Amino acid sequence: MSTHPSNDENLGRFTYAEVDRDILATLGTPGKGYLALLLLCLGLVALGAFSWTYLVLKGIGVTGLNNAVGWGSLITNFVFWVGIGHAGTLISAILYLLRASWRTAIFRAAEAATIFAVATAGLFPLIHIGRLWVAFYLMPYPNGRQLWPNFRSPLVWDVLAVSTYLTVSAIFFFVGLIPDIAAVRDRQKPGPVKWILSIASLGWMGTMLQWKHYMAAYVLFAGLATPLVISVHSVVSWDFAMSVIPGWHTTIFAPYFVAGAILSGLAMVITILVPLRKVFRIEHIIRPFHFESMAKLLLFTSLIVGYAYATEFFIAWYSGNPFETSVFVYRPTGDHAVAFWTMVVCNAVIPLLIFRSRIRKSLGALFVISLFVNLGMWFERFNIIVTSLGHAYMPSRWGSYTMSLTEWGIMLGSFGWFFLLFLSFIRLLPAVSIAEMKEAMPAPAKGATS
Amino acid sequence: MKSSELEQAVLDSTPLVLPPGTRILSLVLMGLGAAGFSAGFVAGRPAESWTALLVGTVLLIGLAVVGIVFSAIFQVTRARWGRAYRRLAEGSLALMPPALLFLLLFLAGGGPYLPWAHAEHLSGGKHIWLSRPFWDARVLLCLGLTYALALVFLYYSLRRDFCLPAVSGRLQGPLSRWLARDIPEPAGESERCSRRLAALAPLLCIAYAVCFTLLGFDLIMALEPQWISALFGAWYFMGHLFSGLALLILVASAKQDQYRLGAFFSAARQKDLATLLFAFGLVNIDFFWSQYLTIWYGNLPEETEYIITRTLSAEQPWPHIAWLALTFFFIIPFAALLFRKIKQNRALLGAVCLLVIGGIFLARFVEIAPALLPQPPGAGTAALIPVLLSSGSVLLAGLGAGLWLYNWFLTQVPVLPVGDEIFRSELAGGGEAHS
Repeated sequence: MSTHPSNDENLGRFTYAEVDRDILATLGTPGKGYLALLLLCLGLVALGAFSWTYLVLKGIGVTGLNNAVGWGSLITNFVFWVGIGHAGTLISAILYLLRASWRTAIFRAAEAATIFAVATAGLFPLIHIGRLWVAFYLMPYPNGRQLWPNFRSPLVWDVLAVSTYLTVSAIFFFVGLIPDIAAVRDRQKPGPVKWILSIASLGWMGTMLQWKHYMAAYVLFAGLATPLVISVHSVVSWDFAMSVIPGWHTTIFAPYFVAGAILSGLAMVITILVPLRKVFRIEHIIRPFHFESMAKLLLFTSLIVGYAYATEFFIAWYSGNPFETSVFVYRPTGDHAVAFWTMVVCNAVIPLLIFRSRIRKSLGALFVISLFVNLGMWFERFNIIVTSLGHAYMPSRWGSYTMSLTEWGIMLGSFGWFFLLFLSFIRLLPAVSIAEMKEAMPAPAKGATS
Repeated sequence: MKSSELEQAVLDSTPLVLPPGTRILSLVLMGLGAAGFSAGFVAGRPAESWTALLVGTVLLIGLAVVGIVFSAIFQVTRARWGRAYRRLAEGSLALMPPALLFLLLFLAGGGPYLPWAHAEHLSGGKHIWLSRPFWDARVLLCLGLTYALALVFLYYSLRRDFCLPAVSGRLQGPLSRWLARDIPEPAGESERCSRRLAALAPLLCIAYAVCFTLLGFDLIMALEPQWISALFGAWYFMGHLFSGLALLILVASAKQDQYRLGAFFSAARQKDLATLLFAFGLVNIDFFWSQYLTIWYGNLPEETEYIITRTLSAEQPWPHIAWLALTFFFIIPFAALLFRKIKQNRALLGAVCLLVIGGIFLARFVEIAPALLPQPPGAGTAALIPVLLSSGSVLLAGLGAGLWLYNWFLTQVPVLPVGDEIFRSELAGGGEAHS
């Protein structure tokens, strides 16, 4: 039995005015800690920009890529960040359709993480192609030379899937923000900020008719976003599974990638929210109950990922395919065994601690577990990509891979970029949905509004 | 609704005797199954009989446990909306005896018809994995472990109800008396049951997924020893969850009138169930498509042969069945369940559920039969009708036997999980209105 108050009990403690006051307080003058974090992120972004510029000037040879391992940390980061972008839509769309009311306090931050993670992910294919000025070749557009992308290539499916996902997630995010932007607008003194917010809130007045249309649109977008959560990472997985590279060509990849993406996304949301609630003093709004619910989802997806790891090994052994078997022996014992074991321990073993009630109710423990899962999920992508390419088929084409300093710089820059966007967002707009918090409040609390 | 009123209402709905016609209907269905199974032997084509038995068995063993797994899922997720359906779902245990009997019968007599049993060469780990009696022991162990966990879970779920004096005082059948024995301190015992259920529910879900993955590999995928699909196990157990939910909706619809449960099974709840069915349908087709597309695109002969024989070959009779299966388990349900009116209409929803079960049955048929009954090029679909009918009759025999046991089970225990705190609080109006 949970000793934490339920979502209803939690929401029952507030009035409308308190919700407005506490959530909008997060938009006040930033503290020193916030500014220090912002500076750190800016520094990392500068490092990333410098590294990318260096790569553009010198060519893709400054990475650790080679003839055997043609995809490395850049594609690893792409898949990692797309994965992080899954929790937001899961929490905002799927849990909304499932009527899981505990999502109200956390979905806004998770949605923001989604948008920023997918935007970060989108940079990596551009970086990876080296000559980013020819990136437009990926887009299907009418041209006099009759050149079209190869629509049979999963890489083109990926461009379409990720851009669709980003578009729908961004619209869904914006639609959810409209009443809150209006709430911020109403507190502003006349001036340019109020003018911008008035435009962004699309004339929201909170009338009955507006709410009716708003709710209809929200359900529609939730319905649209849900299959996209599944499809986008399925398509990412098919970048690998459609090939016949040992370790990649397997039917389990699509659901395995989707589960892994949700696992990593949830871990990132926990990683962000644990300090966020403390820094912005919203512990009474984002409560341990919410983390416990997320922890259960994290455990569930971790079990699916563990199941997929085990199944892959079993099938490799069962099949008798020597190339497949060779890759699956190489992963735990070869050059990148550390990546493999980090992946297994962080994603499939450490999350099992959540079975213990005491652990899943401890925010400190969950924060540490989420860090491990973030690490493990990065290594999972690395392990899949690098070991299969480095050990495919003929021994004469085997090779290894080490990340260059340029790639390290770009990777750190991507983390800086993601957190910079997130930190900027929480200063500009409410990190918790005011409208949904009020909607989910029990009736007596509504009556007690000021 | 007050607790005492709720208990009274549930007990008033609980039948004390078998509904009329149960025995006759069950006997007819069992007779039909016996005739269907025997037909192949009588016609001198024993492979058809064993194929029919295997098709019926792989469906029944899953349907027998999946209702209790649903109950465990409700427990784990603390979902409020579906609590009223827990007991009807848990009644799926009624299919365990026929499922086990069919499986034992197949293990006893169907072994020689397994294609790998006389393969000259099995590559990789298959020569160890696909060897008897290791295979038999593994199949029985996987099924035994899942069933044992499911039965223990069910015991605590039922026992908790019998901690209520009104229940133990009213229900006096043999199972009821056994469940009500030795309860000196009802509150403490109920708390103990709740703790055990909380611990067992995730274990059961995990055991179900793992064991039925292995059963999917062993009972179906291994029939084509050269063919592999890592997702096949998950596809197999997801098919049970999908068809099991369809069966639950059908049963709930029938029992709603029979046992006057309309106050508990509202139209909104039925719509929720239908939406869940829609969601399972999407997951099911996702697993299907993930396998199909990867194999088609990879175009490796050792993988594509399986798909071509079953879905594309113009010389084989199987593709007609395969596309019919797809139409039944995905295309029609997907299109139908988009409409709220269909989800709220019991007759139409029932028809969709029947299609889902039929579609999954045909899918299993088309996965199993081509391996055991290879057809010559040019054979028409008509050649498959006898074995298709036999397979269907075996399944009906299992369901018939299950129907008898199911109705008996519902005379022994409350038809709704009256001891479940969340169910009680939901009806008392203390729960989240939309959860």
